[in-house]
Amino acid sequence: MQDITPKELKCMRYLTKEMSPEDRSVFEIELSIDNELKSLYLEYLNIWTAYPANDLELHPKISQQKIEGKIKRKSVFKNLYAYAALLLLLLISGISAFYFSSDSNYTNIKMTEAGERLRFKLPDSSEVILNSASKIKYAQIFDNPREIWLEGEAFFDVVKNPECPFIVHTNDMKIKVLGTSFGINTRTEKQTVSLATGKVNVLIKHSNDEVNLLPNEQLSWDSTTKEVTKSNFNPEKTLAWKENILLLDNLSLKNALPEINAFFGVEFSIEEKSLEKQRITGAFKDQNLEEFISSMEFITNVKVIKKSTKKYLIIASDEN
Amino acid sequence: MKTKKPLPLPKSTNCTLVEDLDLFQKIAKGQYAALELLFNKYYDALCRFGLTYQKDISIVEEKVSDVFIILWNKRKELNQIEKPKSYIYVIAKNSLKKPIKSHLSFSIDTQHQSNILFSPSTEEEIIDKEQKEINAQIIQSILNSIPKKSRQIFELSRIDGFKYREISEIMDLSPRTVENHIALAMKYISKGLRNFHQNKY
Repeated sequence: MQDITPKELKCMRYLTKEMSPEDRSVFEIELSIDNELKSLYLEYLNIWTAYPANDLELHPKISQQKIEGKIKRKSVFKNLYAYAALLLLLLISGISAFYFSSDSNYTNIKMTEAGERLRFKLPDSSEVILNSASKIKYAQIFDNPREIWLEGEAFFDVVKNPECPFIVHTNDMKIKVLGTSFGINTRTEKQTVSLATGKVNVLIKHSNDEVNLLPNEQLSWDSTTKEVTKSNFNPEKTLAWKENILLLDNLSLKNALPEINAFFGVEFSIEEKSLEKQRITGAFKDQNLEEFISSMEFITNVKVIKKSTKKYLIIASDEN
Repeated sequence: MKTKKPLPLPKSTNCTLVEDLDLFQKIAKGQYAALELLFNKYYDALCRFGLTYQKDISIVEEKVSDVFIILWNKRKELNQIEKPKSYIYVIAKNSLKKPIKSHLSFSIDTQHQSNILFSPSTEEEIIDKEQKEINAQIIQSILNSIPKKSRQIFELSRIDGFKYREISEIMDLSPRTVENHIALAMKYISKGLRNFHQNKY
């Protein structure tokens, strides 16, 4: 078992790309004349490509919080004034938080809780609308390039400035713009960039592919299959959330529930199977949860029962 | 049975070098968000890498988290680092090799990963993709029986996309030894795979 033959070494060097281009071509010729080498290579190639992904059960979120905690704690004590300001700001806004690092160039963080939407302006007066349960970070020095880190979903209306490109980083993508308006959603497995006006350039980090988008084009990136697709989309529908509209376009209740739940940050459920197929259509603008529930009860003949603070059960209305 | 997906081939470290250098520059300037991006990029891989030194995954996760705290504390020096990825792996290696203070958690469950069963139903019509998934599963079951160090070095190449030379720097070995470990790991796997198929038919 310990003896490794030159042929085995060669196959591995080829697979690991340790060969010079010349050696690669020589190896490829050898493959075509040496059957033993060829079958060894095919066997190795098979293992190389089928090598399993690791499926460790990790807890990155917890680790990340720990790291953030340890780093931030240190700097917070260095900046007692900043700490006081932080408390004050938290009290005032309730939703937007500022963290301070020990340097003067601290990071601004804006985040929304489930069911919340937040509209604000960046230092360059570009507008951001942050959808529910999302987070945005940017450095206090926000000039060239204008850089933003996003988790979740947001819509950007970027002030045009050809000298200072505007870049949005997500875990899997890098979106570069000059001046334009577009939405990004990284909350689902299928992550999307939807362009309303202007022009953007999207870099898929996994493959290093760059894709340009034109108005009304949408790019989807599937984080599991690594597939990229470009399609047309309807801006009114896809970006309705930013006008605080929940748009349900002829959906079965079953398919509408995830959208409703994400929009309001609550958990609706159905127990009766017959209700799942009931269809619902409507654009619910600026409605709070209570208003939405009464609209839904009114248009679909269902009744909503509150189970606990955030849990609701939908049952058939007994009026029919 | 849980299906096992083959891992896409890695990008070579050169492809990500520019991005990593950029992140290091940003961390050096005190941008915390860049550290987070680096975390998302390398956390899983570092945990896998760390498992060679420490079987208890929760300790590995803690040690790997420490790596990012170390990076942050040393951030002023980061803009001088030429090979960020190798640098991170070396820090991880050093932090994992340090003895752990509390010995409360001895790990006895070292075999739990190897207990993947193969149901006969998968022998039905097999197309290439499925065959790969099945092979991935068989390979997974073989992995625990190959020498630990060879496997670790093999994975630095196959999963992390490091060059022989880079691995030799990280692991403090000669490139020659690295090459032998990689070839040895492959030999073990192919032998295991062949045995598996012989026993089956």
